[in-house]
This record gives sequence, structure tokens and C-alpha cells, in this order.
Amino acid sequence: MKNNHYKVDIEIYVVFIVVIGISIFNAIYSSLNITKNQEVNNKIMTVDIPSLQAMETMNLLVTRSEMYSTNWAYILSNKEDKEKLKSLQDAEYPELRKKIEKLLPAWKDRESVENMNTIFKDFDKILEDQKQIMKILATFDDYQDPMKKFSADEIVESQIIPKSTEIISRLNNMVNRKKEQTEMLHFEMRSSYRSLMWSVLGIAIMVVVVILLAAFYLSNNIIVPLMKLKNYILQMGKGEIPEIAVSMKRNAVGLMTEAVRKLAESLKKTASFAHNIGEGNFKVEFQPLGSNDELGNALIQMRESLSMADSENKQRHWMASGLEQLNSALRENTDDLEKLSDEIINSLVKFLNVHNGAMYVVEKDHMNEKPYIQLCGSYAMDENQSARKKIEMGEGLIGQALKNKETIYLKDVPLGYLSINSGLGKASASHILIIPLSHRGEIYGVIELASFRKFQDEEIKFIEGIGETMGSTIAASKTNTLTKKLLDETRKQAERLAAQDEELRQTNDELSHQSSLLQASEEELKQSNTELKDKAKLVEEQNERLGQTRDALSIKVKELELNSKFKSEFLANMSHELRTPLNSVLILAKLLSDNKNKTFTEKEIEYARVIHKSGNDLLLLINDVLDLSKIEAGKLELMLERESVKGIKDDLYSLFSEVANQKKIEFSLELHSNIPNEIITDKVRLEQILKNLLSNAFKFTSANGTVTLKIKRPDKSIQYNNPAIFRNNELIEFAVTDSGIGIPREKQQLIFEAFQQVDGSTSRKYGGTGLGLSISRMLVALLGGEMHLVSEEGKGSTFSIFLPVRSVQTEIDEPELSVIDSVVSNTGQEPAENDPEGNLLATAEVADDRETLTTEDKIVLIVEDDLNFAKVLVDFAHEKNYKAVVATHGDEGLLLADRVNPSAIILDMQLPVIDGWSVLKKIQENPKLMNIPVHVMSAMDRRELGLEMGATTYLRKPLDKRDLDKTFSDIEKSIDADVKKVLIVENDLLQFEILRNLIVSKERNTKIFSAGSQEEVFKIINSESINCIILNLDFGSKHYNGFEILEQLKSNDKSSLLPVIVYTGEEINEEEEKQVKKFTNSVVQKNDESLNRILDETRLFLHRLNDEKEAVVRNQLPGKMNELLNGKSVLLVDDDMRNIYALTSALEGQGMNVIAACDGMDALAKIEKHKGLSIILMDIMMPEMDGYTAIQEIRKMDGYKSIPIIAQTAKAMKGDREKCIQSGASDYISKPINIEQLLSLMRVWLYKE
Amino acid sequence: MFFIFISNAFYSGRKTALVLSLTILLMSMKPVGDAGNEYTIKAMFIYNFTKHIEWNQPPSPSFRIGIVGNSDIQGALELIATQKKVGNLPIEVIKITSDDNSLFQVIFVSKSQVQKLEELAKKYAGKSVLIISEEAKHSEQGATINLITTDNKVRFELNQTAGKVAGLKISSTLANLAMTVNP
Repeated sequence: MKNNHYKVDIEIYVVFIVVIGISIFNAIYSSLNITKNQEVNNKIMTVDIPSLQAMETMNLLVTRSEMYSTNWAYILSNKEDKEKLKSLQDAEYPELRKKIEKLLPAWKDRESVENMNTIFKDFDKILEDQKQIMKILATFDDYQDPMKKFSADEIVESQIIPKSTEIISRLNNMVNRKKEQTEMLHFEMRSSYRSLMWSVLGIAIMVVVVILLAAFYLSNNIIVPLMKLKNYILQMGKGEIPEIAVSMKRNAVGLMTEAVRKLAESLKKTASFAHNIGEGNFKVEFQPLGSNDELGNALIQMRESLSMADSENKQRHWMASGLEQLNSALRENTDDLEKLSDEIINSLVKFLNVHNGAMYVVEKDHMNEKPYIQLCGSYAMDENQSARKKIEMGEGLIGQALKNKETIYLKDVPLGYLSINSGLGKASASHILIIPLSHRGEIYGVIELASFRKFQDEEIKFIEGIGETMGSTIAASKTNTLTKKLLDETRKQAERLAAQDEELRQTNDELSHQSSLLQASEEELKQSNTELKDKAKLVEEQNERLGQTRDALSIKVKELELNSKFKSEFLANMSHELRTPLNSVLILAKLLSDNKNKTFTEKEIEYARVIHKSGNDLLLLINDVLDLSKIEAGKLELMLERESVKGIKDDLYSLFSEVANQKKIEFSLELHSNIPNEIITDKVRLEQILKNLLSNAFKFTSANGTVTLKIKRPDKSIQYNNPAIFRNNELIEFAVTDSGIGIPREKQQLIFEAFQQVDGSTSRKYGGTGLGLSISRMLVALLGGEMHLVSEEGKGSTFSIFLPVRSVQTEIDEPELSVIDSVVSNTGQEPAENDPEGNLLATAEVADDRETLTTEDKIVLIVEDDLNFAKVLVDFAHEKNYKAVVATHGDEGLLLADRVNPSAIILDMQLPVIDGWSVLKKIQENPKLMNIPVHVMSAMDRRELGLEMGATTYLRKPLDKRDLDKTFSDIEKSIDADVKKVLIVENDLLQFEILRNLIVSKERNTKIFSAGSQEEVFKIINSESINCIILNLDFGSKHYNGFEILEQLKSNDKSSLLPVIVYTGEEINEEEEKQVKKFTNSVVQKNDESLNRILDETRLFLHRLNDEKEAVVRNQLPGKMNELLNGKSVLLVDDDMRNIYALTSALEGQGMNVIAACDGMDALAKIEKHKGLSIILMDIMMPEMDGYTAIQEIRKMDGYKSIPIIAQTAKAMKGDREKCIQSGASDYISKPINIEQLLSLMRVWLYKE
Repeated sequence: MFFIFISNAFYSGRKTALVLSLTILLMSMKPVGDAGNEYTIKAMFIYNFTKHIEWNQPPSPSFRIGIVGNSDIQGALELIATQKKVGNLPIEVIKITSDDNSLFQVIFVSKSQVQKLEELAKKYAGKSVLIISEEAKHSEQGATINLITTDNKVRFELNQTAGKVAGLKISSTLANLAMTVNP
């Protein structure tokens, strides 16, 4: 049994060990894996990413150092950059280098470490070079020394730029490599996590399968047989003996089954044995199972006892039957003793099967009471024989028997003693038996029996018991007690069987305990599963951290973008700087080429033209740069209009056909028939793009080559970079093909980038800035299209642009566009030219006052296609006492304007037939109409453009009542405004006309007077109240002397305060300038811009006049306010002399003492010199020291911590105000300065003081 | 098309060999000592002028600097020619003989040949040739630039009128650096 138990244990143990083993393997495998990944991740976090960041910072630093040092060499007054360069060298770089060197040991890539060290070494060299420059160009004078300047230029060009470029490219390579490596590590880590997850999952499944198999096996091989066994044993307990098959299983349960089967078999044998005994078959063989087989031995003993009892029973039965025979004999013959005796002896003889018998009955003699014996019965007794009839007590054997009350048995009686005879023979009886019959100690008789055979004992006893009925009962009771004892034995055997049953139940319990153990191990597996889940969570967390790292990287990218934005800003500033000197170049060149004095030879005129042309080209370049920066800054606005494709084609042809002729290039324009006649686009921009592409094509194509422009529908096969844009749009393609030098494949991407050309030296041969293509590409993108390039080196190039037939500007709402579309397509041409005027004007779609106009009426013309809004405007006009005329079409508006001569025009932009833009343009072009103020009310957000085109105000729909009120009050003002009078002193009639038109077009309500001589000037001044004088100070004039006029004007009471604008076509030297400036606020040199300048100045003075009038009215009320400025000292800091003079005269008019300074440094010096300043006006944009710095410096000085400083700047940028206040300014005012505003601002600050 | 020709100092992609080196330039910071040193500096000046001047000549395979008369500058320029280019053109230094009618971008007239200045200026007028002389006031005779030595330092005068007559476009940078600038 012990061995068998062991076997069951092993099976269960094996299952457990396998499961536990798998779990342990799993745990070790996953923890190793996770540890490894953690290490990798740590490396990424602590080494790779910081290194990457540091390298990118380094890259930025090199770029900046390159920029700063370049600026150092080329731009004299860029203090900020110089400071930045110093701090970069002294602080930023050493710090960054330390940081990178700390990281270097952790780099595994030796090559990178060496690379980095080389980069450091090289950058150190660059720094040395930079320091060299800083040393060479230290002071202002150094910039003037050609030797130093050339040296510095040389260092920049030959050392710093190439070296920096190389370092940057090396750094970029390293950064890319590093990024790749990091990406690879990330990838490996991710895949390792994934494989870990799968393996863990696989193992878990394996464990479950093993457990299921084990459970199946155990239940099949142990539990099911055990349950069967339990049932058998229960059956056996109930006394049934089940049929049990021989178990083939050699395991513990099999053996157990075998044992139970044997037990049942032996029980069956024992039962059949007991059955036989019950049947009385005592002869049946039965072999006990062993000497200890209690049940078997007890059964054998029982059999023997039963067999003995049975024989006794038989004897008794024999006796009883004999008795019964005797009794029946006795019952029949109760009354006759002899007969009875006979009967008794007869039945006795017959019963005993003897041969001769006699019965003697004891008789009592009544006399002497002496008993005797009397023969009463006989059987086969011979009468002759000596048998006595009466025998005395003690007489013979019989008497003796009676006397002794004893049975006498005589054996081997001699022959002849008694013969038994029959008819045929006789023989002697050999055995004689004499028996007394007694009852309760009394003898009743004697019986003598003779036989040839021996008498059996029981026969003797039977005979002895005839009279004694009690004997048989005693023998029966003795058998009864014996049976009871046997029953006890059987019960004991049953109890032993019950004990065995209990044992089996225990085994059963043990098995169920083991099954619960299995359940526990299953529980354990579940736990290890949850552990695995925890680990998966850990993995997730790490992923999250990776995401954070990625975020950090994207922030870095944004910083880089910001950096490039700074670059664009820098470019924009530079372009402005360049424009200023260029202006004079252009104007002078133009003047020269005009050859007014006829002093130049043909050649010199040609030179002047060349200068002018070159200047123009440079201007174009600067415009390019500006365009580029505008586009990059996202500030370029498109003017989308319906344009004829043929018109574009014709424009281009007229532009380039001459070039083609000159260069002997075949130039063809192909307009395919399947394209729309008109497209919606910005014509100017589209032509800019095409001009650029065409001029490139001509530039790079040599004589006898071809240049083709094809306008067509694009092939369906074209692959667009951004298919989304083109999916739903109808497209048009403009393809410019040339047979020029072509572009190598590797450079094809490069040429689209700003400042890039195929070869850096291309500019030497072919010219160009390399900006055109990048601007073109950006413009194409802005128009919603794409530019493609197909080129082969040496064979030519094709630049194709793909544009939507309807370009869309994001600001413009879709429905507005569609309105224009439908209307335009319906009417087609401008009906204004075809329709008779009357027709148009007769039909008023809105009830207006066109029938009831009189010349005294104030009339407003409303050009609006929204009838409801037009009605609102009419009502509003009526409310304000205006008569209103409504036009719903642009052309109708123009006609009505011409007809009714309104006081003001309210104009919508989106109009049928002719749009508002064109109406506005035509109004401005028409001298009769251009004085009418135009108030634009439109949903389009194009305020700047509207004002630029001449609108008086520009309001965006939707409008509220306040807007309308304001508009009408503006109209009121424009009607009521005083007529301003401007005197122009000019001999040249043409020049006068130009000036007059210019001023009248911009300043309504202006009357222009003309004077050609000194006398005329003063005649007019005396007769008219002139507001402003414009004087041409040409020394060559024969009719007047400008200086004299000026002097006379100043000395004349009436005109001494008149603003005079002096303009001159000749260069005046410093001496002369000083002289002029004594008399006037404004000197304008003639050039292209000069007309606008004159206009600006004039407007300034005219408006100031108005404002000052108002100010006078206002100032009359609080007299104290007026005196606030009187006698105070003001420091005026401005680098623009015009401003200084304008402001000085204004401030001196207020009784102020004005001290002027031309820049920050000068201002500081003046402050030192002049104590008792009350207020400072500070310009921000100045050379040497700018306003911000100056304010900061002033605030550092003792006693100037709280002096009011009002900053003024031309840049009305958002952050400017904050920047001014931050640097210490008390307040801020933006240019152009409104004098009254400035004065009240100053009063506020001085009042505070 | 019109060629816009600007010394693109900011964005030049040129990666020329490392120069004639800084040492010479730094030497030039010292006062002019012997004649050799002086001509090294003058050569360097001439090279630097090319960056700020635009020639309106038909394309040529090399940038030609002609020298009139014997001068140490020839060696100095030849040294520069081995290491530098003007744009992408190699520099060629040629001694001009009187019968040489070929076109040059720059002509250097040595002190000894000053008398030929006027004739040269006439000969090359309008042909976009930069004529450089060595003494002050010779610009009146047609030289666009005069390299002069004052206070042991090399400086230069710029005659813009002469430049215009010669057919040259001269940048304002050069005008700013010049000692005197004739309009």
C-alpha cells in the first residue's frame, strides 16, 4: 500500500513541479528582459537625448556666432549683436562645451566622440578668428580703415563662413546619426517588449493547458475509479455484493480496486457456504482463507454444532414418534390394562423392532401392601414357557429390577434360556432387557424385551423415558443455548466489515484533499498572471515617458523655427536700410538721364540710365527679399479677381518678345483650347511667378534655343504632392519649357530654397539672387497650387505650375465669391458701355430721391446691391437730412456719381457688373469725382487696401448704428470743413500741375494758388489767408530767389508763422541746409518719393492747422492748463532733423524751452549739461544709442528717476508700448505725431509733476 | 536680361582655399616697412576691390589683371592668383606691353609709367576696365582708384567720375572706405 500511495504522490508532484518550473522560468525571463530594456531606456534618457539637445544647441550656437560675427564685420552699428557675440563666446559656448564633454564618456561611438572633439577644436579656431575680427573692428574708425575692413571681410569670407558651414554640416550629420541610433534603440526596445508580452502570454496558456491535462488525468485515473470504489463499498455496506471487473490499471487505484474485488469474491464464497449449511447440507467442503479467518472458522464450528444437534433431534423425533405411537396405543386402550399392556408391548416391539416382549405391571397387594408384578402383556410369548404370571418383589430378575428400580440388560443369554418360536422354527434370544417403568420415583411397571440383536442405548433410554416426559425438553433446551452462541459470532463478523468500510472512506477523503491542493496551485497561477499584468503597466509607463521625450524634441524644433523667423525679420530690416540710399540713387540717376541742363554727352546719359536701371534692379531684388519675408511671416494678402487667361498670355508676350529677339531665342506661347477663358486668381502674383520662370528660362538659354510657355489642362497622370488640394478642384497648368543648361538632379530641390543657386558662382555669370524661385514657389502655394520641375542637365528644364481655376483666399467667405461668380457669368461684359445711360438710371430698385434733387441738396450716393441694407441707408440719410440716391450695380454707381455729384459715396465692395474696387479706382482716377469722400462698407477684411486705394473710411460689415452715425458725422465734417488754401511757388508749369493734382486728389476742400515770382507770392499772401506754402528752392530760377522769399516770409507779420515746405532738385550742402532750416520746418529733396513727401508734409500742416484751432478753443477754457507748458524745458531727442524742427516750432509756440539732441549719446550729454529739464521726448529708432538704451541710461542717473519721458516710435507694433514702458518710459506716443495729442500728453505728465 | 551682380558676402557659397592667409593681413596692420610688404598689401587691396566692383564686360575665361611697368606688385598679385579667384574666374596676372590690345578687368599702372595713364584711360574708356594708379591726384588723368601711402599706411582714393567713364559699377562700401571720393 505504501508504494502505491507514493505513486499517486509522484503524479501530483510532477504536475506541480512542471507548473512551478514554468512559472519560475517565466518570471526570470521577463524580469531579465525588463531590466535590459530599462537599461536601454536609461541610456536614451540620460545620454542620447541630452546629447542630441546639446548638439542641436551647439548647431544653433554656431549659426548664431556666424551671423553675429558676419554682422560685426558688415554692420557698424549693431551693438546688440556684438554684445550677443561676446556673451556667446564667453559664457554660452564654454557652458555648452562643458555640458557636452560631460556627456562624451557615455557615448559608445568612438568616431562621434572624436568628431565632437574635432568640432570643438575647429570652433575654437573660429572663435579665435571672431576675436580677431572683434579686435580689428573695435571702434567706429576701424570700419573706415580699408585695411582693417578688408582684413575682417577676408576672415569672415574665407574662414568663418566656410568653417562654420562645415561644422554645421558635420553637426547635422552627427545629429542625424544620433537620431537614427536613438530611433533604432527605441525600436529594439519596443519589439523586445512586444516579444516579452507574447512569450508571457504563451507561457500562461501553456500552464493552463498543463493544469487542465493534469486535472483531466487525475479525474480519469484516480477520482472516477475512487468514486466507483466508494459506490462498491457502500453497496457492500448495504449487504449487496457487486460484480467488480478485474482492474487492468497497475496504479494505486487499480490495486485498490483489485483488493475490493477479492474481498467481494471471498464474501461471495462464504455466503454460498452459509447457504449450504442453512439447507442442512453439512457435508459441503469449505476451506477457511487462513487460520485467522474468523468468519470461516466460525462457520465450520457452526456446521459441526448444527450437525450434532440434528442427530440428537432425530433421536428425539424417533423417541417422540415412538411415544406418540405408544400414546395413541395408550389412548385407544385406556380402560383395559392388559390390552393396553399388549398394545404397549406390541407397539413397543414393533417400534423397537425386537422379537419378543412382555410387560409386567406393578400391582399392589392391598393387604400387605406388598407390591408384585403381574404379567400384563406379551408378544410372541409361548404359553408353555416358564413365564410366570405373577412375580414377587425380588423374585427373579424382574423382581430385582423392580426392587432396585434399575434397568437390567442381559447380554449373551445362553441358548435355551428363552426361545422364540414360530410355526416353522425356533431360536434362542441372545439379549434380554428388563426395564422398570417409574414416574416421580415410583415404579409402575417393568418391561422385558428379548431380541436376537443388541439393544441400542437410545432404545434403552427411550424405554426408560416412557414414563418420564420431561427428559426430551431438557435436551431441546440444551440445543437452544448452543444456537444463540453461534448468532453472536456472526454479529462480530459484520462489525469487522463495517470497520473496513470506514477505512475506504478515509482514503477517499485524502484524495479530495489533494484535489483541493490542486485548486490552490491554480490560484497561485492566477496571482502570477496579475503580476504579469503589473509588468505590462510598467511598460506602458515607460512608453509614456518616451512620449514626453518626443514632446521635448518638438519644442526644440519650434525654437529652431523661431530662429529662422528672426532671420526673416533681420532681412526685412536690412531691405529697408538698403531702400533709403537707393532712393536717392534712383532719383539722381533719373535726373541725370533727363539731362535737363544738356551738359551730358550721349554716353553719360547712357551711364545715368544704366545707374537708374541697376538701381531699379536692386530695388526689385529688395522687393523680392521683402516679398519673401512677408510670405514667410504670412503677411502677404492676395487680390483675387476674375482674370482673362488670354490677357495674362498677352502681357507676358509683350514683356518677353523683345528679350527673345535680342537673345535670338525662339519664344512661343501656346494657349490650349480646352482651358477656361477666365480664372480667379491674383494676376499680379501669377504674372510675378510666370515672369520669374520666363526670365530664368531666357537667362539660362543661349542663342538659337527655345523658350515655350504652355497654358493647358494638366495631364491626369501628374502626381501632386498634396493631392487633397487638387482632388476637388479644376486645375490649370502653366508650363515654362526652355532648352537651356538644365539643372542637375541633386540640385533640383535646392534651387527652391532662398538664396540658393545651382552653383554658388552662377550669380557671376548669370546674375540673379536666387530668391525668385523660392518666392514663386511660395506664391504658388499661397494661390493654392504647386510648382513642379522636370529637368535634365544640359538639355533644359520645364517648370510647371498647377493652380486651381478658382484660387480661394481663406479670409474670404465662400458665398461672397459665388455671388460674384454667378452675376459676372450672367452679364458677361460691362453693360455700362453698352446700355444707354438713361436706361440704367431710370430704374431705381430702391425708392430714393433721384427725382426730387435740387442743387442745394446734400446728397449721399449709396452703392449697395443688398436692397434691404440700401433701404436702411436711405432712411438713415433722410434722418440726417440728406437726400439719397441708390445704385445697385458698380457701373450704375459710377454713372450716378458723375451725374448727381454727391457729397459722399457709401460703397459696397461686392457688386455686380463692376466691383467696388474698380468703382473706387475709377472714382480716384476721375478728377471730377476724386474729391468725393468714399466710405466703404464691406464684409471683406481688406481695410488696409481699401484705405490705400483712396477710401476715406473702411467699415466692416456687419455694422451697428454707431458705425452709421459716425460715418454720417464724418460726411458732415467733410462738407463743413474749411477750404484750405495752399500756395505753390514754382516756375515750371508741368511741375505745378503735378503738385496741384496730387494735393487736390488727396486733400479735398483745398484751393491751390500759384505764384511764379516774389511779387506774386506776397500779393497772394496779403489777399488770401494761405494755410501752407510749397516753395521750389531752385537756385537756377531767374524769376525769384528762394532764400529771399523765405527771409521775407519770416519777417512778414502775417506770414511769419506760415508753414513752408521747401523742395529742391539740387543738392544743397550743409551750410545751405542750415540756412534753409532757419526758415522752414521741412525740406524735401526732389526724387521719386519726393512728391509723396511733399503731399505728406502738406497734409500734416493743413491738419495741424485744424487741430491747433481746436486746441486754441479748448485752451481758452482752463487757462492754467495752458500755462503748464510755458517756460518749461524739454529735451527733444530725435535723429530726424525734420522732426526736430517741426516739434521745436510747435513746442516753442507753447512757450517751452527746447533742447535738441540727435541720438541717445547726445541726449545723455545734453542732460549733463542742461539742468532743470522738465520732460524728455525720446525717439526710439536712432543710430549710435537707441531710445530704449537711452531711457535706461537716463533712469540710472541721479535726479532723473522720475522725470517724465515720452517715447515716440514709428513702429506701431503691439509689443512696442510694453517695451518702452519696460525700459523706463513714462508714456508712449506713436508716429506720425499728432501735435495736439502730444501737447495734452505732456500737460498730463507735467501736471502730475 | 540684366545681370544683378552683388558681392554676396552674407551668403556666398564659395569655399575657397584658405587664403594668403591672415598672417599677411595682420602684418598689414603694422606700418608699411619695406617695399615688398607694401606691394603685398596693395595687391591685397586690389583683390578686395574686385569684391565691390562690377564689370560690364563680355564673359571671359579668366579675370585678367594687367600691369604697366615693372613693379613688385606683380609677384604679390601672382601669389594671390595661386590661391584666390574672382567669382569663379581664375586670376591671370599679365604684364602689358604697349601693343597689347586685349581686354583686362584691372590695369595697374606702376609709378614709373604714370605718364601713360591718360592714354590708357582713353584707350579703355567705356570698356569697363578698372585703372589703378599709385599716386594721389592721378585720378584726374583717368585712374579710377589711386593707391597711396600716407603715414606708412596704404589707403586709396576713389574717383567715381572716372569709374563711370570707365564703365564700372562701384559699391558704396568702397566709397565709404576711400579717403576721398570724387563725385
